Amino acid sequence: MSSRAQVYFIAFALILLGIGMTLHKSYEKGFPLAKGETQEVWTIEALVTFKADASQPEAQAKLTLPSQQSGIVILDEQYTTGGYGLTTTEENNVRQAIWSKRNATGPQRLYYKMQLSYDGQQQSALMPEPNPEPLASFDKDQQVAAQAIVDMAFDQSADTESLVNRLIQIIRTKDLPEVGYLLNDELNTGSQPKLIKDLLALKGIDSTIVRGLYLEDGHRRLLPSEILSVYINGEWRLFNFDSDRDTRLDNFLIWQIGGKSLLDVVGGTNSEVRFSIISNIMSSQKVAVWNELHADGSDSEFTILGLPTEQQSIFKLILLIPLGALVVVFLRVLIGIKTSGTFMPVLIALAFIETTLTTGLPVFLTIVFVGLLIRSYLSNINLLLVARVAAIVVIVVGLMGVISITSHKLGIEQGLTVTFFPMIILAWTIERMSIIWEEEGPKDVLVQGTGSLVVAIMCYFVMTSSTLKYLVFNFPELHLATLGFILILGQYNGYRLSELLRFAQVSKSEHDWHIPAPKASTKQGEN
Amino acid sequence: MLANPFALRRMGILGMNQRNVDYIARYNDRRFYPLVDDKLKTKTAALKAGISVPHLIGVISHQFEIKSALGKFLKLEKFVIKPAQGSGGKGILVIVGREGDHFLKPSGDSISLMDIQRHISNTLSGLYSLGGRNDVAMVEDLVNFDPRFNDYSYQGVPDIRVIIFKGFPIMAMMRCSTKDSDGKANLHQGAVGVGLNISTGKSLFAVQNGYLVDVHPDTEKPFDELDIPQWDVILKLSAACYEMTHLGYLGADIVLDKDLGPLILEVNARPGLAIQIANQIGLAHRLQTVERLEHTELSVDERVQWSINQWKD
Repeated sequence: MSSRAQVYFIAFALILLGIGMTLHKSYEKGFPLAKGETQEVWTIEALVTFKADASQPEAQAKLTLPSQQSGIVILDEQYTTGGYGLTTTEENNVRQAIWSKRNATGPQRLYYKMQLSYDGQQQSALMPEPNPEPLASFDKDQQVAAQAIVDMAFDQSADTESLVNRLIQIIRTKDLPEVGYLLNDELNTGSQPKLIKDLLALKGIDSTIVRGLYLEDGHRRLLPSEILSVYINGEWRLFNFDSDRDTRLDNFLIWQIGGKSLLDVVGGTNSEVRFSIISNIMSSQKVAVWNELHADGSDSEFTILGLPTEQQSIFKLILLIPLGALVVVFLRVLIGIKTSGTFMPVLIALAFIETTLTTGLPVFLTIVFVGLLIRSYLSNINLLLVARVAAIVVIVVGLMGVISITSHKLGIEQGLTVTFFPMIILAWTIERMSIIWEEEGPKDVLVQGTGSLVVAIMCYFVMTSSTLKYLVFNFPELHLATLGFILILGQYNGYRLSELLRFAQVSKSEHDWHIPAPKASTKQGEN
Repeated sequence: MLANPFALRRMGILGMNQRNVDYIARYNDRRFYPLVDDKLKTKTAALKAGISVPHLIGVISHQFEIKSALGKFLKLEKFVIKPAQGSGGKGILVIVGREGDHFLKPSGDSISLMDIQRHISNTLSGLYSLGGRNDVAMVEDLVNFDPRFNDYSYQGVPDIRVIIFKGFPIMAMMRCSTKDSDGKANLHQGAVGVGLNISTGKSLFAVQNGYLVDVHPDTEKPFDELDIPQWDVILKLSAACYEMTHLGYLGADIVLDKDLGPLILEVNARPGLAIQIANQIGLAHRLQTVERLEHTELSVDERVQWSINQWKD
């Protein structure tokens, strides 16, 4: 493979990789490609209350927490401790927060707050293994009543699904006296779902109770809802219980699966957990960032988003530099604009970003112009070069001070931002320009100075494009593609736009070409 | 207004990008650059290779040496000070005579010893060198250029640029300074480029600012009378730079001294493309002809002869 083919191969691989990684990140992790997309985020607060036992000062509260599952993304979690020691454990896919304290008295309040995004179609991967021989917990008397209910429901249904639905209906409406009897009996130990679970067990159908919340905005002090998950034809199906709801479970957040209690308090009485739910609209990007940082423990190490905010804002600027470099390569290789100093325009553009173009440009021109005047005086007194450049640095600092103070007095606060101009760069610009002026004349100063400014302004517009800024910060891997484009431009051996102008006179005489001799020979003949 | 890029391609006009990618990057090994980027090194290598160069009077490498060097200048009538690492003719100070305490530049301006001191000081600080590196100042004999060229130049020394590719002379031109160019031999500043027939050394076209001219704008001397003497010596001298520098693509700058004959002034690893305008022909076809050559293990004389035969008309 020739070196040119290699470069193209690498360049296209980089471009594909960069764009591919960006799309992957966008689709898999939810980073939106365009700024301004929004997403619904739920904030759920669980309030655990109990009264600490006066006789037993040690108190411990265990709250089962929802697990990461498909369909929901836990973005953030916060706990209050209120003097309690807090630990979180995860065992057999069950996460628990454990608050404990040696000396608790009176009413206790503990908070757990989580933010999550929910995109429906919730599928829990944490459903238990089905038990082929489920056991019902009825005593002898109950057994008869239960059997009667099940048999009746069985007769009135066609398959397991309709059996479950029929049972729910019977239990809810309490049509049969047996139901009242069973429920009365069960009141202290369980609830309607528990009863149906036991009833289904009589028919050898395994089911489990799922606790969770219906995500609806503005609910406060809500008790967890219980629904039933029934194992039908090899999969767990959820069945809605509440009479005042439709049967869809689109917005049901599964909090806990199985019979274990949601809240377990040792050393307290009247324990209770209640939930409040708020829905917010947030930028999708923020959601994705959150997700990246909190949910994916492994990846977050390598993202810029894991850096402290201060460093992030520096990185925001640094990530723009490759864009500026690409613009410079483009303008020099394809257009052929002459600049003084290869990447000085990028640095000037960075300064413009801090000051904005409308402030930066006049200030830049003023400083360079005044600097050139002073430099022309300096050339009359004998100074070593380094000392002269240093003198210009001092003068530039002075000019910046004057501009800052003047603009402040005039009430233009933007003038203060001129301090972002890289002084050494300015000083060198002035020095170089003045040398070009002396050696090659003002025309070249104008050509190179204008070229540098044009490139700097182009860089400025590219680097301040909100779309590009957003993209490179959220998808830094896009710079692989930038690199690829730079490699391709580096291989470009065609004409620059400026050369089409430069060689225009030559191509006009194309018909004379390949016969350059006539002119020379005829003239020689005359001699 | 704009040229058609396809027409330019057909005519073999070499663009800056193609020059950089296909010739300089491919045929010029970077490790040989320091030799040509430093004129002092070039001179040493040229002397070793038996290539004629202007006589070196002295070298000033440190600021503290300037004072003692200044005394020596008082004994000299004519000399040239140039930065060893300068590029594009930047920082070259030519002194053509004396007027009491003052030194005369070709333009007739007189400068003081102090001005010379400052110029050397700037040179040593790296003002004229690439990237501002510290530099040394070389003091050379002024070339007494051949009086036959008197009318082809305004206040400056006309020099001859020969493009050498893989040791073969490819194209040549003479650069004549004008009033417009302020006595400088820089084409983009208004100097006249005279395309030279590579096999005969006779003029083909003369171009100023991209337009064809017949006579020197200041002296009215017609360019078609131009016939460079010792053309074969010039070709051999420049072709020998291939062995001296190991650069595949180079430009040799040559002056004709009245007494010493052709001298190499400097070698350029990135020669410009204006030579194509002066010759009204593209470099690409000629470069490709040489690239297609199978036997390139030839002596300097054989290569020069091949080029003379190849581009006779």
